[in-house]
Amino acid sequence: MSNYEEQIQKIVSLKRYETPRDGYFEDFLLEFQQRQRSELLHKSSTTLFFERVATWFRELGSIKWVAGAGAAYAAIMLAVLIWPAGPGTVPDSNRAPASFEGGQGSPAMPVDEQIEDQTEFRF
Amino acid sequence: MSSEPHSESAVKADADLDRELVRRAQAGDTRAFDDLVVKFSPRLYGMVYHMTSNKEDTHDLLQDIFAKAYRSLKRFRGKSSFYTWIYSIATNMTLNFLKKRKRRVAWSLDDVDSGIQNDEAMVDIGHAANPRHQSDVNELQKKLNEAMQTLSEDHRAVVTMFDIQGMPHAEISKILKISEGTVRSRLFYAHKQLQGHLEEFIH
Repeated sequence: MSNYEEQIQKIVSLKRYETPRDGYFEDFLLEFQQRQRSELLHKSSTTLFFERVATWFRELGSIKWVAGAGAAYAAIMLAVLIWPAGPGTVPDSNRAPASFEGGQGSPAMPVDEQIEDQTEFRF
Repeated sequence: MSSEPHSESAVKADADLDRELVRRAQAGDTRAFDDLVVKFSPRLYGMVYHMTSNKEDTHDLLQDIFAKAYRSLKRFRGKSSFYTWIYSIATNMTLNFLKKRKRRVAWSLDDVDSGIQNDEAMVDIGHAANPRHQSDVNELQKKLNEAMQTLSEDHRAVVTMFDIQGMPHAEISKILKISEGTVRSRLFYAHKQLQGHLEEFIH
């Protein structure tokens, strides 16, 4: 290391004596603790719930994979059971919407049949 | 040389203590994390302060650094020492802060602190180092801070860690994720640049 570098290093190293006032670090810790507490209070209940679930899940150890697989299976079965019927299935007449039950101008019935109906009602 | 094994065992004991505190903190013991804050805040304060040269910024940043470390603690796997880990967080956050501060129009060298006049240790050391400038410790400190602020953030980081905090090149390279050669080269160029600003104090 050259002489100038040593001197620069010596001068710059003086900065290590720049320290905060006495008691600063005690106050710093108190402020940190207060800040942590206030952060915890302001966290939404949903965030806390997910945090707790995540912690609980982490602490389960190897059982968590079995529990995870079980939960995934339950979710899939639930989805299959409540999934609405597809277009290929036979519609249940009891579940048909009210607007499809006929009547004037109903698109569910051809126009000529509607006229026949009206004629019938006149007699 | 005879003190080397002792210092090695002291370092090991220190690392073991850190590991134990981290383990307890990860298990939810907030007092263990408080102990880590007490232990590391002076060293991290030094790093952040010498990078920012501003006490208020240092205070706010240090609070954010410990808050982030607390939130990320569960992800700390102990591949490096806790000191290296938290120091990396502090360095990254400080470098990001400095980039943002650079964009702030209001920031100038007038914001650099120069309130060291009551620091007796600095005054004594200043006198010993520069007898010709005994009455000028404040001036030295002001010039030092200004000179530090003229360095790029990357150069300032290595100067802070090596010259001020006395960290070895290997530790700096781990924290900054750069090679030891890059650490040495940055130090060389930073010293060259500082020489121009501190000429009056070099004999």
